[in-house]
Amino acid sequence: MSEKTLAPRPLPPRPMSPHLQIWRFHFTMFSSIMHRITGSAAIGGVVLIAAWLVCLALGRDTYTLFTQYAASPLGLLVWFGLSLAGFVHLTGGLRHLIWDTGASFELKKANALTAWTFALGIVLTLAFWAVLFATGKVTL
Amino acid sequence: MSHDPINRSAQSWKKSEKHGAGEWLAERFTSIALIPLVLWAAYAAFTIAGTGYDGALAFVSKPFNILAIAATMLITAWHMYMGVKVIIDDYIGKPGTRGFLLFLTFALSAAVVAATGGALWLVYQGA
Amino acid sequence: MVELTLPKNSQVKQGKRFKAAKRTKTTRTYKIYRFDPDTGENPRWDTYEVDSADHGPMLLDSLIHIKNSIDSTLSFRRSCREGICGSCAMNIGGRNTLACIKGHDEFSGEITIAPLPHMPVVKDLVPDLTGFYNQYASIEPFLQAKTPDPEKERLQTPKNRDKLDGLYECILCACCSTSCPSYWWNQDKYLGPAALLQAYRWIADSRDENRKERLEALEDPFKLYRCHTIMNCAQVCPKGLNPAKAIAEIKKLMPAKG
Repeated sequence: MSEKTLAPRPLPPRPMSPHLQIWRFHFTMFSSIMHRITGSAAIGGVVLIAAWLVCLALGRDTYTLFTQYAASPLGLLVWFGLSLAGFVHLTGGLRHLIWDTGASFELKKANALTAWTFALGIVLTLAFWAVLFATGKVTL
Repeated sequence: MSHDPINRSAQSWKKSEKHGAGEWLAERFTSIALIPLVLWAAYAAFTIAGTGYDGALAFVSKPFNILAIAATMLITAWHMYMGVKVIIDDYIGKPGTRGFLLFLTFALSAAVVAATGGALWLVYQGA
Repeated sequence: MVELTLPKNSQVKQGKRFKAAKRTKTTRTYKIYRFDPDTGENPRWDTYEVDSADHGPMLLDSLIHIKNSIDSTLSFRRSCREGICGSCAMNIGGRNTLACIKGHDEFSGEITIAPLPHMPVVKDLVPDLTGFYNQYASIEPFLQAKTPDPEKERLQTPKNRDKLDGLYECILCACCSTSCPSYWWNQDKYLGPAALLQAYRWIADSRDENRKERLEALEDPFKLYRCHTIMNCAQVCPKGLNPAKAIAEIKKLMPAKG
């Protein structure tokens, strides 16, 4: 122990103080976790899109089989969830890119930016599906 | 706890791995690139929806669309690998488990790229 | 490494209840984390009913009142009682703050008081901050210059001095670092918001001539880049500082090292 700085010393076993058990979440903490969850969920979308491409390349029969499942009500629900994850992750990424410039760190602005990017992600998703249904491209 | 922060001296804290900025830049580069690409993908999904096998094949066969799909999927796979790696590095301490999960993540990203590339090639050959 | 639950020896049991002789309108209930290293027993939540008319307006006043007239075994750190020493940093009502500048009237209902989160506990509300101080020491928090010393002090323009505002006020209370989930999971590898804000305080100082070396010493996937802009640090800082922004500024400088 030739350290000149605070030297390590032997300690009796100490308990770890509570953390998640007592923490009262902030909005930005919630959104950070959501960015992780939506990003992870979007992986499912990427895999499905790759599968869709492969089915397309394999020919008409495989493709029809894929779209049978993909266009079923359950399939549409899955696509809706994945598109929500994708859009919310996209706008969440936009929030992080804004923060990366050093802007909008003041608490009020940071909370507002978080709320706006969340809302934008949801609005984009709803608009996307509204257009799909309105044009009759997707039906239940 | 496998690591005890109390037993880590100030001297040992001074060491750095001397990398991280490159990964940070790559995360930002892929994020920025994916904003237009994902919006294009949404437009593509809208165009293809409800057009059946022939419509989808016609859309995907166009050279510009092939390039755009390839770029989107390649950059997405890269972004996806980096993102999951951050989560694994945060949560998994055991080197063996960490290495195994990183391998799985890489394999999945590589599989997405390979499947996309193969499918696009087949479609391009058939067109 | 993530551990969502507490280890076996850290799980908090139900403790004693110190009832008020007579409950009045001004009686407040405090649920306080207790750990006695001498017994080796698990930590516990003790509950105290206190008439806030008997003491001053701040939570530190409540704690001192409890120690003086209800339970002298209660341990906590305190010194300046005016938010400048950082000793009484603790988790109150689920958020880290300084007990001396937080009023008990800012909370409704039962008030939970615990040590700073995810830290080894010495006794009651006293966490072991050795690791935190070692992280601070490692960023070399002092002016470093290569040029020979001038006859008098090293001068700085008012504009350059302004760049240190929002950085130099840090009192190292550890509220921010112990609020950060990244620090919770990786405090053996991640420097944490306090040490990084202090690091930026010297990187941003126009008189310091070791900016490049300081940045090189920070470039590390874990020491610096475990910050994911969760913003808990800025949300809880009792001095109103913004470690998250300071870290963002370091990240901006990192690719070009200056």
